[in-house]
Amino acid sequence: MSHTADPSLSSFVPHPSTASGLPSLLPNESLILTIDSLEVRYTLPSTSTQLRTLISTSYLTSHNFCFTTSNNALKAIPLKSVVYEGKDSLESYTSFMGRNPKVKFIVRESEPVSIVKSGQQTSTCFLSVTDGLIILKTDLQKTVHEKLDLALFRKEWLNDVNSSNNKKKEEGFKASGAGIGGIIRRKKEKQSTASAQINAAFDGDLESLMRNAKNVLQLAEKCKAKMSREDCSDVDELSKMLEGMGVVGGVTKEEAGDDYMGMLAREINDWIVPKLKKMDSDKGKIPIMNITDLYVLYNRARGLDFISPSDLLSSLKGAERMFKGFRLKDFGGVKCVVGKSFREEVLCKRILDEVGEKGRNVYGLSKILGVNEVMGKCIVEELEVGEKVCRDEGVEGTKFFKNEFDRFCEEAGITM
Amino acid sequence: MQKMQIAVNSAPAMADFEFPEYYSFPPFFTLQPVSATRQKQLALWRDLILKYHTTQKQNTLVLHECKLWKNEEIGRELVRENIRVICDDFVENGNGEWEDEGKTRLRILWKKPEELAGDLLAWATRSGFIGQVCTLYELSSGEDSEGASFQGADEELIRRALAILEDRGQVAIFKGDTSEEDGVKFF
Repeated sequence: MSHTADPSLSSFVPHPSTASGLPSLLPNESLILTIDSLEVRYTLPSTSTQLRTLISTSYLTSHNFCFTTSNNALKAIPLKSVVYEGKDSLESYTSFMGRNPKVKFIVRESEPVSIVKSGQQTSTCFLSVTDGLIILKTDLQKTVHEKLDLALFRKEWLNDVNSSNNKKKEEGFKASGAGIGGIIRRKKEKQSTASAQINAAFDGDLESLMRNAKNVLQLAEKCKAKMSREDCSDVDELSKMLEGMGVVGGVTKEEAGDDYMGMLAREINDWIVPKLKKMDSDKGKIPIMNITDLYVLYNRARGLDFISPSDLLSSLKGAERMFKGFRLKDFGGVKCVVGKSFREEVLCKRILDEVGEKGRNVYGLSKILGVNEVMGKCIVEELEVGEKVCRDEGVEGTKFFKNEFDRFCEEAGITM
Repeated sequence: MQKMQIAVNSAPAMADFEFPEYYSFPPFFTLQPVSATRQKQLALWRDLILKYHTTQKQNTLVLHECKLWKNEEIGRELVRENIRVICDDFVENGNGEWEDEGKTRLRILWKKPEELAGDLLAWATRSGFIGQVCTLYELSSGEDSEGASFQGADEELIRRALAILEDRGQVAIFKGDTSEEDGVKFF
């Protein structure tokens, strides 16, 4: 194994981040673990004995291991470049570093980064960069090992590669493809490709099905055992198993520890801001979502490890204060999240334009505003309290009109 | 919205009444749930009831007969509970009085007695009745009072207004053979 001598942290791939500082994720990528306030120590090749320290927040995703540098930039080690080398390398490394266990990343120029892993019960793990060394001091070392192992085993990035490879490539002209012979040859190629794809699909699906079925069975057995014993020690194992099946949830209290609310606020901010922006850019829609809808949709997006309503509210308040990407607002007693661009006057004018002389019911208004009926009702009732609109209850149901009572009183010479 | 002019009573003596614009505003017939808006709505209803009854020279509103409650042109009608709320508000504001305990008939006080007292004195001054005597009938239905705000007004209302002026020493009331023949001297 020949190691190149890339001398600094700049050898890592710069990674884009979201507005709240979390790593940007690809469509198939998921955030697996966040390690807060991590002490990263590394040496440069020229001064291999001198350790440099960096307090960093690190993120393990299904595709990358990312960490923040001192100037808050995100750097990443792509997991596709990491090779697990087994215990032999570990022992040699242990003898070099004394008895400290480690996780070592070795960066090579043409070859992928290699990782050497060891140690099960310590509070320190190591990352070696080029000829240097990065030491991660964390109590979550065991968790880091397990999650890293799992991500390397699952190789999620291969799904991206496969999907990009499936795109049809444009073929140039070849002499062998010309004429009747060429047509027959292409036909045969197509047939063989199709049959290969069908075989692969069947084999792959069957294999995957069997593997998942086995996992589901194991899960069911575990749940059964748990229910009979009422033993809560199975919870970790259960979540590990689910992760093994590709079910990766969002930030959890166990992973984030004391900074749970902060991390949750970041995650929610990154989730909701693009949604509100999209609503804003859609013609006619207003960037608004009530908290109950948000709670359901957000938990659905998490898949597992649902958060409680109070956690949601606290983290929304935190995210509103920290990132200012949205505002919390009350509409007729219903809490809502509105986008940065939301202006009440604009909404009011829009509704008054829509109600016109014939009035409109809540359903019609909600449809025009692009919100659900509950939300529409809250908005209109808020405007009613503010004397902007008034109601007409007839056989067709309740309609809302522009509130003209002020003008009528003035015209009749009535002073209130 | 166009102003409507409809004959609300089939009696030939009734003049047509020009309804205000708000009478064609559908929410006018729904009691508004927001207090501030409701106060304005009730004030408009008081205004309409008074204007309508003074124009029509009607002194009594019979709840189940009043045609104001329904506007067929826009297909809107006040529900019974809301009629009650509007009439109660009318009474509370001193614009009317219940004539019966069952609250089915409402006496319309075209003007509040204090206002009418002022009108009577102004009329007497303008028409040269200061120092003169006239009967109660002449005040409410005489030729001299034609066009005055109290012409056709309820006798009880005129009596209350005169009682106010008597307390101030601005009129003296003499008892006649019948109530209509009671005399009034303006000072």
